[in-house]
Amino acid sequence: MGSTSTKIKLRTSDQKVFEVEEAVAVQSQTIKYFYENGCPGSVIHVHSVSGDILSKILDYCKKHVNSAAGKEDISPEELYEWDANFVKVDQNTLFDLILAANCLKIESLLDLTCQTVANMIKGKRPKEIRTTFNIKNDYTPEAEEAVRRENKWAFDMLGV
Amino acid sequence: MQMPRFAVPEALVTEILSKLSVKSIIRFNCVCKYWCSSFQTPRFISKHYHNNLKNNNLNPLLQRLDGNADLAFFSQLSVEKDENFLVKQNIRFPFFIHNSPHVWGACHGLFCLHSSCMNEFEVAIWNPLTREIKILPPSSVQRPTYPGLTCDLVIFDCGAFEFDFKTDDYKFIRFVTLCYVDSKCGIESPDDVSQVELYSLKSDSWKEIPSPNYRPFDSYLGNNCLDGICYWQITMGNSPYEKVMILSFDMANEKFSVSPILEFIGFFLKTNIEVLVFNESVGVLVYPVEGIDKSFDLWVMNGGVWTKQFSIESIPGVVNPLGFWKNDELFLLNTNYEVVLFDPSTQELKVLGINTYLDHHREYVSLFFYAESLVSINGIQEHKDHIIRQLVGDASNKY
Repeated sequence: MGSTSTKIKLRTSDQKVFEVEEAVAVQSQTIKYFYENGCPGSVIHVHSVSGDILSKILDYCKKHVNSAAGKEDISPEELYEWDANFVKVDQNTLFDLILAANCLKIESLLDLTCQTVANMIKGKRPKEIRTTFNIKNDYTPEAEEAVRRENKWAFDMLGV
Repeated sequence: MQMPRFAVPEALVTEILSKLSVKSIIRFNCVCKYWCSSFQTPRFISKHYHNNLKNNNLNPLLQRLDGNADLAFFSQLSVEKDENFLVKQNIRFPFFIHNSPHVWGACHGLFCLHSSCMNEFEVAIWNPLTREIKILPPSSVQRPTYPGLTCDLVIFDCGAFEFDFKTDDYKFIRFVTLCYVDSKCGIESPDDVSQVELYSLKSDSWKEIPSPNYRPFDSYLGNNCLDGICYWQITMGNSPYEKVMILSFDMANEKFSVSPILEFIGFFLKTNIEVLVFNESVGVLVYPVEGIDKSFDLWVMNGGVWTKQFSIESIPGVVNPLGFWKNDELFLLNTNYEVVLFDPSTQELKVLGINTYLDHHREYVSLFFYAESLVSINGIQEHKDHIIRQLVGDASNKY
């Protein structure tokens, strides 16, 4: 069955070529668009994604396609665990995954990776957030204090 | 821990921030002016709320009674895994007469609180997460006057709070009953007068709506609005041939209509029927009035057709249902006045150890489910004169 299904060829930014099952590749709305509107059999260039990242992303898509199609016996809890492990990566990789999920238009992966970052920053102080996102504080000290005072309770116990 | 540095495009930063809790977002108002203003845009507020809905991030809010002080209060229950709906925070309402408001509707993470006493007019819209409260002005609707009669009692009931998508407005509707007495001798007039009035948040004012010919019943499950329409149960005809019907009010065109419930529900006097919204459909939960081993039938209406969604065979020791949780689990009040959770897939009945301190005040227990939202209501920051919050720090689940 697997051998007869249609394959799509993808070429990454570092010129690596992947041959991917159609059902897996079209999890990406971007690839789906090019596949349906391009020449049959031609290679789709995924310019902004490296081979390493695309390989990870294809693992993700394959897992979710197989799970949805019932090809793999995996409970929703197990898939949730699998996702949680999938995003246990270093921060640069996480960042690359977000950019790639955005560019390839894979909504569930974008949700997962953005939620991971949200969970990392949720308990932080504004100062730490500025460092994280490289943001310049454009408040005067008085104005910042006023905003802080207005929302004092949100600082009471950090947490979520 | 060394924090990561993300040089992420702005749209993706927004994507990340829209997945934060309200508390974190409010704290991050201090990060920079741009963030502060972008958190107030309808686009961000809507994205944030829909993320919570999509992920089924629902929070239970339990309304119960402090038996010692005879005061209603709310408890926020934890949804953390393994915490078994532990009480996180208790909330009291000194703003309301006798401290005892009831929730008369919840929509987009907002609650409409209404005083539980007759002749009192306190109504407020409240966002428990942003801690914004909007106290509604008193109704400006004229009460009818009759020569020789004095209006002695004003009763409000069957309130509903819902969003009108057409005009982008939150509206609150309530039914008013006016009781009159003879001005001279004080004898009660046999005829009560009915009115319906509607509050619009956008115009911050009340107006009268032509009253339908039916008086609905209050919905105890407090979850009777969907897509801009509010639903109540009514009965038509004379006993014992009463028929149960559904009265609905469309917040957009501000009109009532009546639709039938098929005759599946059995004999009216022996059957409780609660109108509710279940999985984005209007439905009714049907269960026997008598007995403490109760079975439940859930019927839903799709495209005008009623179908039975499922039945739960006999749950022992039940006083009344409180509402559906995720995966068709059902919260109930048991005969010890504890909140219990029934899982239909395992038939397991889990006692949550939250005593509701009730005996003769059964109507005070209600459970509401809401998603966090940043929706602003043009109100003021809540103050301890309005609302008092007590964090429940340890694992004590008594209170």
